[in-house]
Amino acid sequence: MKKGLLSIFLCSIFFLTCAFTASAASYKGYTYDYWEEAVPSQIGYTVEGVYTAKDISSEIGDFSEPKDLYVSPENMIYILDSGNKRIVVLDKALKLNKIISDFTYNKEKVELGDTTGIFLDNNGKIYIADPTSNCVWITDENGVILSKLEKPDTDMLEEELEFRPQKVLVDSAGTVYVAAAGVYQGALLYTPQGEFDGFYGSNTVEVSGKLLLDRFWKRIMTNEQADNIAKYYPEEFTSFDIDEKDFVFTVTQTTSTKKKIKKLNPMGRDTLEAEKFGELESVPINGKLTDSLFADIVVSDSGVFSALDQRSNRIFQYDSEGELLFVTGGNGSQSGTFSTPSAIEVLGDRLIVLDSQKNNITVFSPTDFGKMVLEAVNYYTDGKYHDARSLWEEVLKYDHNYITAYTSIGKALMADEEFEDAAKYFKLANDREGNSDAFQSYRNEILQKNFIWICIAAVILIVLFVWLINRRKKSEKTKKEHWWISPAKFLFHPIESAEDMKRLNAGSMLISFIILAVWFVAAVLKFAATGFRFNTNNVDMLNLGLLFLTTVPVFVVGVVSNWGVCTLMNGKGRMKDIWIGGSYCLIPYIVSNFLYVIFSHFFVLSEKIFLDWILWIGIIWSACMLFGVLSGIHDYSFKSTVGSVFLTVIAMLIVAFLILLVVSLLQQAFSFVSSIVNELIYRIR
Amino acid sequence: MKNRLKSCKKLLHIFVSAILVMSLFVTSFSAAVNSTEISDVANNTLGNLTADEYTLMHENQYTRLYCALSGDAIGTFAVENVADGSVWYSVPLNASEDTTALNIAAIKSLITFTYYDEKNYAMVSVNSYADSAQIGGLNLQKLKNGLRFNFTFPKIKITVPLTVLLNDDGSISAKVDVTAIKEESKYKVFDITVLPYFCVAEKNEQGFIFVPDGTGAVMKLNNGKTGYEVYNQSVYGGDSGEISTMQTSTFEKIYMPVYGLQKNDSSIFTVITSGAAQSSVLAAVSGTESDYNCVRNTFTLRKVTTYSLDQGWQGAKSFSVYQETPPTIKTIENRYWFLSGKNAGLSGMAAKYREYLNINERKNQKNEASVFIDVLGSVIRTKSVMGFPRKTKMVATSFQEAQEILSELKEKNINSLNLRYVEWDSRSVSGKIVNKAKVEAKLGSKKEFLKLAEYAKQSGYGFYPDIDPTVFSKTSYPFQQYFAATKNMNLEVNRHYPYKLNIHNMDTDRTSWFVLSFKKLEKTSDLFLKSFKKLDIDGLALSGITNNVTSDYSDKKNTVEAWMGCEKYSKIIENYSKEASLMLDAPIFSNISFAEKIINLPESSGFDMLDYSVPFYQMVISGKIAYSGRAANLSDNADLAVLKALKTGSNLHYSLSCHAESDIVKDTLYDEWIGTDAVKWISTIEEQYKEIKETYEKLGSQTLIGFEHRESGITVSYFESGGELWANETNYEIEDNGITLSPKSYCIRKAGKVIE
Repeated sequence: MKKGLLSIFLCSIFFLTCAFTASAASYKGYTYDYWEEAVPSQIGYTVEGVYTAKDISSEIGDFSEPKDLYVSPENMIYILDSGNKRIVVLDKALKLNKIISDFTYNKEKVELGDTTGIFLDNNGKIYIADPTSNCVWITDENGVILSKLEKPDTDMLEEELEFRPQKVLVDSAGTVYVAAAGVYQGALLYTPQGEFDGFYGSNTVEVSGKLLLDRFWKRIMTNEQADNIAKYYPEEFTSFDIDEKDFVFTVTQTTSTKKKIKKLNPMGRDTLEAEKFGELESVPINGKLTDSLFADIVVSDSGVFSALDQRSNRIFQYDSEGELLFVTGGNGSQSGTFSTPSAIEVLGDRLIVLDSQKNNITVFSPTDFGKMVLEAVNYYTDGKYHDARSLWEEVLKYDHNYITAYTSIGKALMADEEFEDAAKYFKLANDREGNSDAFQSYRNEILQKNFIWICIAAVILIVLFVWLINRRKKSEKTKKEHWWISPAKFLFHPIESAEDMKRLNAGSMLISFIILAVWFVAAVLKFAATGFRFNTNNVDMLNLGLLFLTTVPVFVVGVVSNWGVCTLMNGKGRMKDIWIGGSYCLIPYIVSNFLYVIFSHFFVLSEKIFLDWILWIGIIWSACMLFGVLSGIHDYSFKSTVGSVFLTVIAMLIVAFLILLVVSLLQQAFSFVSSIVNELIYRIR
Repeated sequence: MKNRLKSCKKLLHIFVSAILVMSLFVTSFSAAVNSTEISDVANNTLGNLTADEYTLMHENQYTRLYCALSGDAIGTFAVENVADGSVWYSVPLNASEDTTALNIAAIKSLITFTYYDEKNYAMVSVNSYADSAQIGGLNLQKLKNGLRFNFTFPKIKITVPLTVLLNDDGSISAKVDVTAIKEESKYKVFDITVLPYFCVAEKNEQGFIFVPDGTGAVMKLNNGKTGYEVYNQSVYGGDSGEISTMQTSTFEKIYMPVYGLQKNDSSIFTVITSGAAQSSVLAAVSGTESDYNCVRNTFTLRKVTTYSLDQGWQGAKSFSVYQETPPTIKTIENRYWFLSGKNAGLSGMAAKYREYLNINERKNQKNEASVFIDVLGSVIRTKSVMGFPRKTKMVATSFQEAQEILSELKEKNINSLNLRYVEWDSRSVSGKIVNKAKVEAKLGSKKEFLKLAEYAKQSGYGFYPDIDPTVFSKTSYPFQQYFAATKNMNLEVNRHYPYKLNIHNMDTDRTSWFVLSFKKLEKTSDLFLKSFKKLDIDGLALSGITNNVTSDYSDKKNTVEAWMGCEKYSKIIENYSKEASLMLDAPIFSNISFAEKIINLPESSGFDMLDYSVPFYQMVISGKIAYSGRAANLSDNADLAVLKALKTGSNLHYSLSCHAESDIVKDTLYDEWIGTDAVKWISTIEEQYKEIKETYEKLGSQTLIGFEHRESGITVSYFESGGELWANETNYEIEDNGITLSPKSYCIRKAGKVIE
């Protein structure tokens, strides 16, 4: 028996023509978290098969730089085999249907140029963008060219412009959209009859610093000079796709990190709220940044769209609102990775990617995880949060980094009026608005339940406060002269206190140091302990050193500058007085910081203005105090105080500049020495 | 043309007279003088051999070794497999007709190597045909059981001796005594390839090339994938002491230093028996680099690294550094076995390898499906405590919680289970050098830990606390890394960072780690073992050390090159194996004999030029060592977990933790534990365990002996009992041989009949 089986094995191995490798994924799944950092995630698509032309049928031979793909509503796959100047048609099982290689126009043989785009309209007419022949061919299934679209005769296009159509598509009404190289006005529109009908969905020129500067120069330059300055054009479309409702999805290979994907409504307006697409982090390699460079885009029936990034060789898939779903693929010589991916299409729930360098097509199918997410997203976009909840919980079983799941569950919980849990889930998703809404409802619930207790507590607090003030007034009357002047006195009588302090030499260095230390603590707390809704800092990434630099050193520089300025301006204050008086002035600001941190835990986003006021009151109070204290210490009139403060600020800036200069000089000196040391060490060993 | 013929004839004469007959110990030879007579050569001719100049030199019961003493193929040899009469030529006979190759001379060579030309700053490759044999550089000696080809390359004054021997185990060896390589000029040998076109098949032949990618992969002969890059990977993943600044692709490394080629019902199976850690395997289909389907390996004798000199604000300048010291490796050797008939397939190769590794002598594993569970103890990460960032030990699963997981699984009738407890040791959790076995207090007391071990033992479960003795990330005193970590050839401390998933470069914001230098490692691992023994636990799991190979130049007098690093790690694992029963994390084959259990077996990488993956690794160890693949809940396709386990004869594997929120493992080396919540997975484990247990019972055995990937896309796994598992991993329904399988399903066939 065993022998027999083994011989089966031996024989069969000779006849294998299977076109794929079953293997582990050649790419790792990841997604971007709130901080725009890549975190591991389950992959949404795996490779179902990789097919060269030979794998499909020996009749085809090899593909040669295939540039575009189209999948018809009947799931026929049209491959624009550009290098071989033909169209290869496959059925949905990737079996060869036919090859269209002979094209005739008016009964004369036509050879296609280096074609780049293919599309089919509802009547089965094939549109081929052919930049080298400067036209779009419209042909039937047998290669008989019915007509062609050429450069329209319009003033809006420069005369010398060569018409090079890159991609073409047709909407439900039969209007043809042509994206052509060098045409910045948007896609060219043609009526079903082939008449030019204007432009569609122009990108706008992005405003940048350089652009504004150039505009300024242009104003003062002569016309000849102005002509030599770089002209600013909106970026042209690289590729596009159209959905059932005639919304056009476009990709643009902008060099900057601006909006790379747009969803244009039939009026040509972008309707996509999300701003960032593709890789959210980039690194220079050989002087070039690794920003995403989208080559193609495809939208599925459910509104989910996938864009093909030629830089990272990955597919970025988004839901209809532009939330990232999955990142698929990569760079390399394994199945599921690409060299130069040129086009992407959807076949049912599968994605097909054409690689013009590997000359193959890769079919991706969703994993069970992927299917789960896509189904849940459908519910979610339809607003059926409740139905989606169990699916999202299953998603979290596989992947706790899947943020959309938390948001969605949060929304479901909101619908169920489980506000506390909803707030928790929104927090996990870093969804501050959602959390704010949930928390507000939760807070109302608590307030309503405990209304009586809260009233009682408020009354007690007020009584306590009044009692304290009364007691204080009494004690103030009997108070003796202290060896230091109470900072509390400074709060309300800064000028007087400052004069007293100077006169009696009654400032306390110890207290000033304590205040500075508390200031630093307040700064740390404000960074890290502010309530989630008002805190967009990555708390775990706190850099204490940097934070410290924004507190005490600033104070020191301020004190020194003021002392310097005032010495020149006949000020009477000593450094010690300025130091102590200055530190006392920080008290309102520090207190407001603490209050801000505390209240931020109870306020919701719509009440942000109250929180801001707390801070502003602190700042204004501190500023007024500082003004008073300085005029007190230096015996200044109002005018000279203003002058001294102004000069102090300038002096501080100069000092800061000097410090930066020294630091960078030291850095250079250090790196110079270290590079010599490095080289020496290297030479010696 | 005439001139060439003349010179050929001339050469021919020289070669004939060049053949020496000497004993094994004769070492004297001369590159210039080639005038010794052949005396001892029997003039047998063989019908099978096409080139009639081949003369029988040696034979044993398995193989016959012939050498061409005249004719076109002069100076080459051929091996006949006695069993089926198939003949394997050291160089293809019709190499001259090749239309694809750029360098036909290389195809006709027994040896090719590269040397560094300092003048032109280039690596130059030379071959033994054009650069030695054709210009009178070959000197041939007959040894007691083989031949020695002494190739002198006059232009660069380098002499390389290649020895071909018949072995008693049925194989032939091709080896180079590295110490006998003579470099009499400034030129030094860097990479050397032995018998580059020995394992070849022609463009009209049918069969396959077996490539050791991951657990194994197959490239069908003449598969037409000529537009793709050839397969070329370092054995054991190469020297991890060479840190690259980018990691752009995700693929499996080579765990097994083997490869094979099957054609016409006979096959050749190669094991790299010496110097594997410094070699790489290349497989190319016909039409890519030559007209031949070819598989071979190349040894790296000297290293080329890049040194990047930091020049401060001018940025870094990097340049190549070429090793100048002589290689420390003594011999490089390949062994080739010739298989025929029913043994010529993959299972025959696996059986041969098993025989070579002495795996057959191990006692059989219990024939019982089991579940491998990973439990994560504690990880350390920077966390904000009251606003201040602090390194905090996060608890994922305490000892008690682990015990609760076990008891729950026990309740679910899981009879056989192996628990691997990851990050339980306090020094390992903190990232310190692991030189003591001390339980992490955050996870519970030592008593609780021992209670967990005892509970596992009583339940009949294996318990394997895991450590990686080779790494540390936290220094106990400043600059400790300069004294305790491995250094690269440029004497820089090797500092490893995790790579970013999106842009592939090193993530220097995250915690880095160092690899312990060998000098320290030998001490610390002994210390650890001593204190671990006191815990009195039977099992121990090792990771990291099991499948990494590193060089180390920290000790200038005793530099450790990769081959030696590999041996030293094996030695340390061997020491551990004497004291505990070991569970190894996907070990490379040099460490495999110390494993009792193996976890995290890889898959294959799906390289473009290859056709499908095969469970060769599993076929070698099946029945003798219990194994499992990667954790199902962290794999790409959790729904295929059962199918993938069954078709490879594996057990199930899950990674679990009690506190599985993203906040615990974020930014740590365990950040890929994204779906490990024990509560959510227990019922899945119960179901899947039941399924594989029943299936293996029906199959009658869990011992995988054969594997077939059918044309239809169905895979068939053959088990020792005669049971077959027909599996369809695709998304389509497939019908084959009367069996219809729905997508992602399988069926059992026994004695030609489908059960169920």
